[in-house]
Amino acid sequence: MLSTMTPRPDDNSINNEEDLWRRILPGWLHREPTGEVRPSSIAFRDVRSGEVSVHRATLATVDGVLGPYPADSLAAVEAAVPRAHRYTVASDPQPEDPSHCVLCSPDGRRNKKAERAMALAARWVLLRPEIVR
Amino acid sequence: MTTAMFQSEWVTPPVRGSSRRASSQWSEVIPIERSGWFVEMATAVLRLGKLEPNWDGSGSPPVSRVAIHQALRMLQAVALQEPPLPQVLPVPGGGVQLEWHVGGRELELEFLPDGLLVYLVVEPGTSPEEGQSQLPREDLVRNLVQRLARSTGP
Repeated sequence: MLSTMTPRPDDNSINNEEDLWRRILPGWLHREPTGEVRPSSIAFRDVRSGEVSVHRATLATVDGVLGPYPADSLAAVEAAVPRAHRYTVASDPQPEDPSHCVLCSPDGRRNKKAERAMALAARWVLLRPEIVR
Repeated sequence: MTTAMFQSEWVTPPVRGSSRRASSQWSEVIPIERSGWFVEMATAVLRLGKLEPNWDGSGSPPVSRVAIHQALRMLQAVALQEPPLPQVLPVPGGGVQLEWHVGGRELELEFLPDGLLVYLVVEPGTSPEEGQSQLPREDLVRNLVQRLARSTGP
């Protein structure tokens, strides 16, 4: 299940300060004791490929990313955050989505510490009203 | 002790042989005072089994029966420790995650479709601790939940 493939090379045309947007499902929201809502760490993992789909904020629009997913929220993480945990940030433009990128974990292995760090560093671009615990 | 039974094909798959049935029956017993906790958690986990393919909009397969079974089994194992209610989350790729956030401590138990448990423990003042193990590992999970409970005791 866990991929051991070599991660894609980092795209150094994406600056460390550039925001990467991640779509957050309603079931991935977590409310801190302070009342603050943040994404759960599982929002930044995919056990199938070891790659997490994100969108370059400079090339994307909120409507373009969330259009088909009206219940989902959108969080932003600077590219420096995954890179600090040895993830690569690789462009993966699609015909219908030139903003598409993937975050690739080192050696294709999962890293729960890094996933949590990304979740903690995430800022909301759009948070849908949702009942969360 | 007053007890109640909560049986499910997910928790205890049918086994062949009367001796195994006889020896396993008491492992299914949960005291009545904890049965509400377990039923609530089991319901939340079982609900994940109804997610359709592509439930995440990114092509994820449904949550796997193996992951659901293991999550239920581990919930059953810790029910007596009276932990707080965890958050139950579906994981892209078909896994289940139980997540606790208690008094600055965090515990993530992720059950993968291939039967692997991956966990993360966060305790104040220390670096997060990450590990993994092939399931079933009731002893390991009980110990992890016990660490979480340190912050909830008197």
